[in-house]
Amino acid sequence: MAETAHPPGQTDEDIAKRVHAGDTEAFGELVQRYEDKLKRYGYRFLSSREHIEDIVQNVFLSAYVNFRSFDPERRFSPWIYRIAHNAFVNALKRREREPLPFFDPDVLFPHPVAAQRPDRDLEMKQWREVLDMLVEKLDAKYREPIVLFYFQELDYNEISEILRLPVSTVGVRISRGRQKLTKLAAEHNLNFSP
Amino acid sequence: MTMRQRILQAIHEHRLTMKPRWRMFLSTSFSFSTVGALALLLLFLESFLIYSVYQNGSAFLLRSGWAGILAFFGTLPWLPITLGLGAAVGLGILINQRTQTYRLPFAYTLGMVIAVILGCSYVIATTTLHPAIAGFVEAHNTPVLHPFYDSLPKTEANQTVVGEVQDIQGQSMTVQNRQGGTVRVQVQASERTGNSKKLNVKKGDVVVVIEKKQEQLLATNAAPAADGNDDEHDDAKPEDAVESEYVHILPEKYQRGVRNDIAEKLKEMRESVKEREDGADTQSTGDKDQTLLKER
Repeated sequence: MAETAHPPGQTDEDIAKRVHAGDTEAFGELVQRYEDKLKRYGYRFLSSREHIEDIVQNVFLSAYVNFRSFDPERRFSPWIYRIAHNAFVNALKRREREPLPFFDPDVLFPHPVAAQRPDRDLEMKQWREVLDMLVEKLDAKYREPIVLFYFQELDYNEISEILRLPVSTVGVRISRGRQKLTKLAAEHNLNFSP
Repeated sequence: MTMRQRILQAIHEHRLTMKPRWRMFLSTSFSFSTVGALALLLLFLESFLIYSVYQNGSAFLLRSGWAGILAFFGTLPWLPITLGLGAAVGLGILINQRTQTYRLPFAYTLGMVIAVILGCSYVIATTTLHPAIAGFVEAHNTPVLHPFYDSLPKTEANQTVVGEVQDIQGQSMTVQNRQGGTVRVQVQASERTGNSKKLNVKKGDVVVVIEKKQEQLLATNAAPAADGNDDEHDDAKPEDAVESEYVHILPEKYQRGVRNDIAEKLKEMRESVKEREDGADTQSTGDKDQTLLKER
């Protein structure tokens, strides 16, 4: 199938406006932009155990079917990540051995917002290396914000929008996730000192 | 074929189409209104139950040890409870389907729904909502709701007496109940139940009495007749005598309902007596006329 070329430099939201206006080819461009990102997100969140390719395709199908619910005046990435989050969570639900974070005090009680970005690139790189090895061992509730933050490089506000959690809770989860990873790294004798 | 190509092909072949906005709006509205309707139904049913168990005194059985707790569960109306559970299950299913949490077992959702509904229902039951509805349905004889409000809140549990204090003599008091009868209650001091030696009720209080034992004593002196003479009428309920270690004064907002019920019952009884007396008078006048005619 011939792929139509569109002017470069357009934002996701510009492309979304074209899709709204009836340019269905433009949707293909959004697929191309987000396919790899969502797959990476899925691989890390679900730890490569699911049919990521199928799930991501379903994410795009669902996005297209419900495209009219997207407001092009808002940012596109949190919207598509939200759909992906729902799809991955549904995949997790089908898994028996996931932990059950039923009562989540993080959401109920306010927290001070943790620092948003690590100060050094080196630190970011270290975290990614550790995450690659240990991310599977984290609870889903810590794993997802950490993956979105370190690998998808989304900020707290975007993560909060995707997960429908207060920004402070996102900060706390990332901070606690880091603590758990540090502990896990020590247990696995990994040389890691953030 | 790449993912992009597959998706575009599906769009071109019309296997994939965008949902119109109105359909999404309708679907969301339907979900929200279903959840809302179920939640309202549950809140109404559960708050009505809580209101009823306070109104008929069963709630106070819970303070009377294990026997009281068992008696309390024995008095619960299982039909509304089953209906409420059905609505809670429906609500739990909808919530589980519509929310994207990592993994919420259904039992957890159901437990959460029941806990939240019970908490809110308790708050609603303490407001004047149900007494107001009860007054309205009573006055307008509203279908469906009238029998609903006319039964459960007025059906006392076994071994309980709910009524207005008419008279106090030492440790004994006379209570006028909803059935139009009177019950003499001998209140015993008890450290176990916190009942002090002095009876802490006053005339006019609406109380709930949990009986210790019950024996029927008198078959007279139940309700005042139309002419104020209590001695002769068939509707009279016998006065019972009970001993009790548990006497609770009903919260003020529940007292009004009980007083109204008593007043209404007494009025009904007076009218019934008056009708019978009028009937007897007419018959007696007719007999006299017949005699006069015969004499002539």
